[in-house]
Amino acid sequence: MLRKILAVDDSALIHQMYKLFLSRYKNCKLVSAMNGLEALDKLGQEEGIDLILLDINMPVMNGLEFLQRIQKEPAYQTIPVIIISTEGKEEDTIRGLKMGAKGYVKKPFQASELHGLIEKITTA
Amino acid sequence: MSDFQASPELLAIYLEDARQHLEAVDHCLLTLEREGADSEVVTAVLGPLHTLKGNSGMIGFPGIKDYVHRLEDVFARVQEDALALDRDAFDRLFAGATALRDAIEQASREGREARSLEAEKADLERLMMSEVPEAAPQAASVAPPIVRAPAGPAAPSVPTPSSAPTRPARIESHYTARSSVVRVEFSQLDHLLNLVGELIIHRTKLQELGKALAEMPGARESARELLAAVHQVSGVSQQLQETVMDVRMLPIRHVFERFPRLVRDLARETGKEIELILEGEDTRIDKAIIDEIGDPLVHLIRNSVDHGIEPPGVRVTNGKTPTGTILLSATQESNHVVITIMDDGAGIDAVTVRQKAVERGLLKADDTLSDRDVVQLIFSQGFSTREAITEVSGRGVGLDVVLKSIERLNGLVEVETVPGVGTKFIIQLPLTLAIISALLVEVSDRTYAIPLGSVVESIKLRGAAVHTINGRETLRIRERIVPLLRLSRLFGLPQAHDPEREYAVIIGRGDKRVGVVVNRLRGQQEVVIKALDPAVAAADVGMAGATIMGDGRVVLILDVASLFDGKRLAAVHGRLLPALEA
Repeated sequence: MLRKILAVDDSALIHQMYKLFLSRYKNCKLVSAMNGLEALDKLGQEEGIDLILLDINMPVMNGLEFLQRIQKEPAYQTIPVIIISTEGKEEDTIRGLKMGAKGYVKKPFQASELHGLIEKITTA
Repeated sequence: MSDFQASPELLAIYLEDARQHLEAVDHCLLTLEREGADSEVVTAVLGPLHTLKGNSGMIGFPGIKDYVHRLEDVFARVQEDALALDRDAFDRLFAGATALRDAIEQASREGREARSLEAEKADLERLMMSEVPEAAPQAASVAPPIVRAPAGPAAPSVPTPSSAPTRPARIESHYTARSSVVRVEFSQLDHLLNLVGELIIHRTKLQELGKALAEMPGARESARELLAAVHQVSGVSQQLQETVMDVRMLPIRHVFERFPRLVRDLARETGKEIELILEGEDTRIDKAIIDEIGDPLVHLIRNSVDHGIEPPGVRVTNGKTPTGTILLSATQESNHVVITIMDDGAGIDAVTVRQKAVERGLLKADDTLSDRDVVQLIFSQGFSTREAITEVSGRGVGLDVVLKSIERLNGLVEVETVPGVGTKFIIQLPLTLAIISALLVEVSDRTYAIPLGSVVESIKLRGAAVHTINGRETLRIRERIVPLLRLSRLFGLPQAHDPEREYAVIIGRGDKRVGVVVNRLRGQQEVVIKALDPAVAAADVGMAGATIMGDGRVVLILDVASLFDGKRLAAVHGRLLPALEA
């Protein structure tokens, strides 16, 4: 059962939509970060994060850099990561998957797409 | 397509973010046009564009998403030096940015895409097809319409800013600084401020109780402790109020940032060369004022472009640089923010203004008003010195609208001008609309608050000094005849018949004066303004709001500008007559 999801995106709108889309996971806490650096902080503060939803194109620290950092940390490298990509940056998505991300969804995505992928990855 | 219906809340978040992203696009284009190709400037806009694209897709606006995607491609090609932008390309990109803005605003309002961007998208595609000529010209050789040139000696009235603003860094910080920001509805801050206001009211009440208790034998020790505790509460509630006020403040950049694009477009429309310099964009002011000050500033800037800055040829003939300068600056001075709009244009000719004012019946031909005062008449209703109506200003809306808007914000506006050298508009605004200094007055045992900023003086009214001219009571003060306005009559209150207890509070609006007759002056006080119910406000009752006193009483705050309204004075007059006939 999902207890905590870390959502990393520089868009306030996307965070609001996660809140909406992920409300079906009762008792699951949604932790938000606006960029990779903030996400690293959140990983340190919040224990027991089960899943990371990761945007790639962000200021300060982008998604790929963040992914690279957590892959080096034994405590974090086992947390599954879903890349949330945007049209036109396909090569970044491929790089992310090579770096260990478990799957990706392309914006614009539907709630059902995200749910399907989350279930597939977390029950695998 | 998304499988959900975007809620108004999501649409509002989308729009707010999109506006920031659009500002970044405008800013990027302006900088590139003015300073030439700069990879850093382009990089700074790619992030916002990417986010805007993702957001537009998620909210269910595929047409907007596709257009932004193309725009991203254009900027990416500019960054790779594979595309050089000439004057025509900039015009098309600016037009496209405007169309995009319209489409986003409309879609956010209606919850669905209504304006097609297909034509604009095709235009971008055509733009991308154009090849880079041999030895790609940098923008400096592309003859940009705006040349960065500091105001030379020919324009002594416009000082060169002490530090030139470095814009690309600003966009970057603007874009990245958001991570520690929490979104709060402004209405919640308003509510918080109201609660703080009430806390202060109750604190005053506690203080009074403590003082009363101290008078009672045997309770002195308890009273002392109570008062000490109240003193503590006082300090904390004061800090709380200051903090809440501070949270409501936003940098004036939120208003200023749209002007570079405005001036650029106006300059193109009028065939003028204009550089806009912004200063003091970090000056903070109440959000309620930010929301209202945009339109008056647009009006004044349009005015400077249209009536101030001369065409390049005329400027050169007059020994000026071909490029005119408009300086828009903001500074905080104690409890006020002063905004100035200064141009090094033609200035305003007092002789012409005097002539027009006489023609329009605003001034008598033999009036001895000084030139400086005559020039202020441009703010009078129905005044306009230009015969021809241009695209830019002169749309039948005069500067009187600016004056009214600024007065609604409890502010003042003035103009200083030197013919041939330039014009400066000075706007003084309160830091906040939430708290004002007010003079408390009593009329027929009721208390009213008059915003102190409008009070010129108060005079003890003696029956002898009042003259009736044309059926109206007037007061002679030094060389002026000041009409009197009896609040008791205006509000239909029982009249107090004690002339010894009457005062005239002289209030000013520009050059005009009105004496408000009251029964008692109760001193000045800082009051927290509470808005009146729109139903009451719409009835045009002459009230700017209400406040609550320490003893819990509600006191109405007079809307000074409305007391100068001719119709209102006529209404008072009208009400007087039947009473006389009866």
